[in-house]
Amino acid sequence: MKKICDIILILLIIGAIIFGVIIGTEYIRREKNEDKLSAVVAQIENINTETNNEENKQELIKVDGYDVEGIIEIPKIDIKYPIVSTTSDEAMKVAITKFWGNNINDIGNYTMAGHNYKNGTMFGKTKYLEIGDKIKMTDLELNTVEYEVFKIYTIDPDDVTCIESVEPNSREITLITCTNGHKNRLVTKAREVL
Amino acid sequence: MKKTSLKILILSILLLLVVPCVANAATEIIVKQGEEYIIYSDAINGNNVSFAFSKTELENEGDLSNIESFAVRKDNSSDRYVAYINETTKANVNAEGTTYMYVKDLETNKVTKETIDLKSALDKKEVESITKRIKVDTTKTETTTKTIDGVKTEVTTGKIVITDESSPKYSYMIQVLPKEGTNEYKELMELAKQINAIANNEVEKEPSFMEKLELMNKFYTLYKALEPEAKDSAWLPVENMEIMQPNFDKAEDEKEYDNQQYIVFIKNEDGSVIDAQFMTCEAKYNPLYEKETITIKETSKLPVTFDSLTTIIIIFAVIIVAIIIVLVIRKKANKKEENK
Repeated sequence: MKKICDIILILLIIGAIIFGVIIGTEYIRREKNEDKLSAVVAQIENINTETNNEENKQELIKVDGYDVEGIIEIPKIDIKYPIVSTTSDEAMKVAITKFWGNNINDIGNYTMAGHNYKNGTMFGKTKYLEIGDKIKMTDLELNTVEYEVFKIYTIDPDDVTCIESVEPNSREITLITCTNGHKNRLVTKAREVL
Repeated sequence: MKKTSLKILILSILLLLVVPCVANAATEIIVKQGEEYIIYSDAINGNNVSFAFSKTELENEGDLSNIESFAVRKDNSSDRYVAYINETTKANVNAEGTTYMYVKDLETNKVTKETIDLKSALDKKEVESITKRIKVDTTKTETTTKTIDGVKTEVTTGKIVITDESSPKYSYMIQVLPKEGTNEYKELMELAKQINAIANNEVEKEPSFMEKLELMNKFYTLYKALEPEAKDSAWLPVENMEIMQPNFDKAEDEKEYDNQQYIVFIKNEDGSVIDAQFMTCEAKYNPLYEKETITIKETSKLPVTFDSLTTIIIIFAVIIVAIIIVLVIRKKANKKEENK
């Protein structure tokens, strides 16, 4: 009995160490990533739109090799992140990602995805948004368009209708993050404030 | 932007009709022209007619021989024979009340009695000046931008620009006419439209001169009844010499403007001049969307964005709990062995 307990105990301790390391590593990675994203946002905001040409901007603004399209800022939940142009598991670990749409602030629906991190980073606090809250989107020309939340709802992961514009020929953005574990998606829609 | 002003057309018909004024009965209409009053009456149907005035009603026709009578004259503008009140004929006319006019057909000796009241007679210039008393430009438009159903839309509506510089300030009052049902203001608008149609020869049957006069008389009598008092508290100040269409900043649908008619009363600063404009408003809605680039791309599932670290933390917590449990079991096992 004692021997079995010792074996189990050793295995559990090994497991605890492994998971502890994973947690610690991920925590540190996220902290560093936050700092990196803040630096990227600052970098974008310091772009001199008159002297930098398009090519230089593309070269300059990348996060872990992913092209940055612009910045999303949500004052209500105090987040400001760069948006990268591709959605993948790896890209989503790095930043907010563009899931659907053309360029930032183009006419149409620009859909973004972000992790629902429990520490409130990325889209972890979008559940606190309400109708009427404002979201700012800034492109690499530093043109900022303000959007207002008009619809918040939960859908199944297979329901991709949220990428469609509610009103055609208007500027819309859609924020997607997980809710209820990974069983559902919380969709937050906002349209341009005119 | 389509906007209709009846201003010019009203004036046209006024001129055509030699500017009618007041009728105090269905069969006669009095028009004041300068110092004269022209009396158009159905009883005067030819040149062989005389007329006389009396301040009191005569008890019998024989009494007519005691008052001066006059021959009717041809009115060039209407080609009708008319009675008239001027320096020659006004001796028996009551300026402040009812006057009895006797019209005698000299062929049949038939006498017709009518009552006239000069107080209700209107100056020709006053009638002519409707819609012209305060100079305005009704061709201007106002363009605003609003969001309609989430789409930024340019809305162009009509407006009245006051170009009259005789007063530094103006006030206005708008009467929006009901689309359904009727009221007196709508009736006034309808009369203006009828006059318009006559002036434009848009009527199937040309009305007689007297019918035209009666129509104009009805219009002006109603106009005077509806014209607001200068001291009315409902007057609104005109800002930047512009008067916008009613609810121009509220309507979110072109249909809300369809056939929306309104009458705008305008007064100068001291209220000595009050005028009106008869308007029909329409709005042009121009959605300001840019061309949307359609990217053809397929997606069948939304990305997984839950926090996987949560699962790891839960497993970690479970392991810690398991370690504690195993330690407790081990301790109990050790205790048992020691007891043995």
